[in-house]
Amino acid sequence: MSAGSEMVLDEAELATLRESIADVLTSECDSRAVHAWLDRENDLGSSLWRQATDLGWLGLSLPEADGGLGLGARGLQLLNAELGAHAAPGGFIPTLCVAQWLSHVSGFDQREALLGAVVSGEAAFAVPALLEEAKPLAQSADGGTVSGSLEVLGGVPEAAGTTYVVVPVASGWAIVHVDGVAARLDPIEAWDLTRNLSRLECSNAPVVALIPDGDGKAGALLGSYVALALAADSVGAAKGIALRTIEYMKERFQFDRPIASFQALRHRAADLFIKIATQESLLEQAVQCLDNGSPDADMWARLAKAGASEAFVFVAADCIQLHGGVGHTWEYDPHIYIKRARLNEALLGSNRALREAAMGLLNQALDEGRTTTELNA
Amino acid sequence: MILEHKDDLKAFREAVRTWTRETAPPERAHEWQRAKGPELVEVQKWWMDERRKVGLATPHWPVEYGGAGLGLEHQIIMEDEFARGHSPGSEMFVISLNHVPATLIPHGTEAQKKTYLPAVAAGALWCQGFSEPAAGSDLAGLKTRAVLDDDHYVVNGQKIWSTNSMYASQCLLLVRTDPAVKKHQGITYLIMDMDTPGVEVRPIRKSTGGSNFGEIFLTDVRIPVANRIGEENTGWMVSQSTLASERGVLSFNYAERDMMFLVDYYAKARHERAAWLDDPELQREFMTLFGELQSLRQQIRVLLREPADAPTWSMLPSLIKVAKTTLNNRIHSFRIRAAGLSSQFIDPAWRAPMYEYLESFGMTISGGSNEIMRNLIAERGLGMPRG
Repeated sequence: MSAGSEMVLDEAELATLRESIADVLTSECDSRAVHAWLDRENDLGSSLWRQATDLGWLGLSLPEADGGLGLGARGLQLLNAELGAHAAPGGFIPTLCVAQWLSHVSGFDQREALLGAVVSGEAAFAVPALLEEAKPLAQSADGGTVSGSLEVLGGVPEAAGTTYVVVPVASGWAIVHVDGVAARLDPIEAWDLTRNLSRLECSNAPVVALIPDGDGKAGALLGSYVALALAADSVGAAKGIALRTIEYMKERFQFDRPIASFQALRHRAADLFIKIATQESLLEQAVQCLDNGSPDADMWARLAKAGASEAFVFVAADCIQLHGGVGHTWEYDPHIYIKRARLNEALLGSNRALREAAMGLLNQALDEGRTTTELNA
Repeated sequence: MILEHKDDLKAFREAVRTWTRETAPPERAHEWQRAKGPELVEVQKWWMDERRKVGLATPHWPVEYGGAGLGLEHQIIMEDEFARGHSPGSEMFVISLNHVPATLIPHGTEAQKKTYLPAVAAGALWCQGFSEPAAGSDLAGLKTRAVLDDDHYVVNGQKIWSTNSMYASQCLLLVRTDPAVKKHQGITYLIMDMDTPGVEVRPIRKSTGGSNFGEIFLTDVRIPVANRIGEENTGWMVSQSTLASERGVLSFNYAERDMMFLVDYYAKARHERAAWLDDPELQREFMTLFGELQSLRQQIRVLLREPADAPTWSMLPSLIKVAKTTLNNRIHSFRIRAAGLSSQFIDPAWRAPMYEYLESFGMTISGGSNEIMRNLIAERGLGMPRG
């Protein structure tokens, strides 16, 4: 399944777009706002979702024909890196990824309605939390309904409109409308309060659309988008908490000096950025492959998610320690990031499984005579 | 003629590729891959001679000094094609072809440029006398003393880690001319002929048993004042041009070769049904390393795209230096464990895992130790204050 997309902005325009997203998040979703959100003292989740709709973020990646900006995987990377940097709450990853996926798969007839509803902020999507390992739900004899339960990422209470879930079935992927009766989402209380996890309960829930997937390629593409978005979130968030930690270290004095001046700590800070830079470039590889429609995109996206989420866990954990005692308080930021990191690490499929899957894809590529590593000089 | 195509990058690449294949056929790669010590020196000299015949030895030099004035994009194409063609390396000429012109062109006298640049272009091998036993990371603390005696400097001291010094004809030498001022302000930059009386080179035996660098002992060595680059006591400033000369092209070549090697290594393992392929832990580790090597190639491409006159100092070169050297060490550590006991048998094969592993410990030190790189990242990249 090829997912090539048109690139409509040049590098300078992309940088401007990235800055504009960062500016909005810096003013609307700073540390204070996120802490208030954790304590249920504001409606950051729904106000951000509204902003995202108004500013066109939900359609950044979608093809222009579907009302988007046509930025493809690059758009997913750019937006999710900024959302991660600010630990923004909301179900952006499942909604953005499913929409992107629906714009590239074929064989179903609800495309226009579903994508239009995403761009206008009226629809949100949820995906199996462990997409790579998801077992098919039971279908009725005529295929018109599905039954069973499934843990999902998404199901956005802050979105005003409709929630749909992508559900694995024997013949492909069913889109189910969460109507609260035949299909219900029960929130799961989770450590990361910036994301929504739910249990989907379906009892003869009507199938809105069916994406056929005889060869597994459609599912693999959805997995690639989720992998890429999680990797981007992880890289952005790791950078975000590392920079905040360094700022803290410049202000925190011990022995009459800022602790940022101690070499033992400066070297650790440098190591965080060495790790982050490596994962940022691996993510770049995945972005390029997805946007070029490369047959190796599925492999690179999975390697990127595994590497980036692991690095994020490492960085966030070290940032707790670099903060000293306040690092493990509710009041400071590191706990927000370590929880997000641990969830990112677990989502989609274990990093062990993703790397094994990547090796399978590498073997397949080599058997087909591809090197998978070709880059322009 | 290859240089005829310089205005058409595609044709230029095609010409370099064809010439490389004809001159150093990949089927013969084992000849230069296996070479070590003096044999390796011969191979690289031969290769540089061949490059010279078609104008590919110093094409990046300015036209007035015998180059073709080709840009970075041509250098990248050349290095890319040399790597893809499994051609011999040319790392022993890095100082001659990059550091010497980068230092002489902005800071040398006309006489120095006329004497040395054509000689370097014709194949003269230079070395660098910067580090000393007590001045490694603290390079500016160097103590090799030069005292003016009429129209000569008389030099006494010791240099170390000087790559290929045993084969070199000239040396870029940093000496202390004023011990009374702050350490950065009392250094002078000289050109030293390696056959001057009082110069003695002793090869240093590395942990692999081989030698590619040496110690240089200097006893009452007389160096003409005419061989000074820049003014007296401005050597530190001049040396910054030397150290900034190689903007990632060499790293690019290495990373390209490393990836080709890793891909071939894996293909061979599959072909031979290597035992480690059945070990899921090693499978995952391999994929991690494979991913990080590709990531390094991406990072180097970003570095090459950075403008030479970027107004702000970038931490990218330091990030890349640490990442590539530690990754190299991890890749060969992996290969040792994947091979098991047989990795411990002496094996003359190209890139034997234990050999490469031992070599990799030199890389995390040379060219600025990784600890110095971390200082640079923290200070200049992240704005963390000095202790």
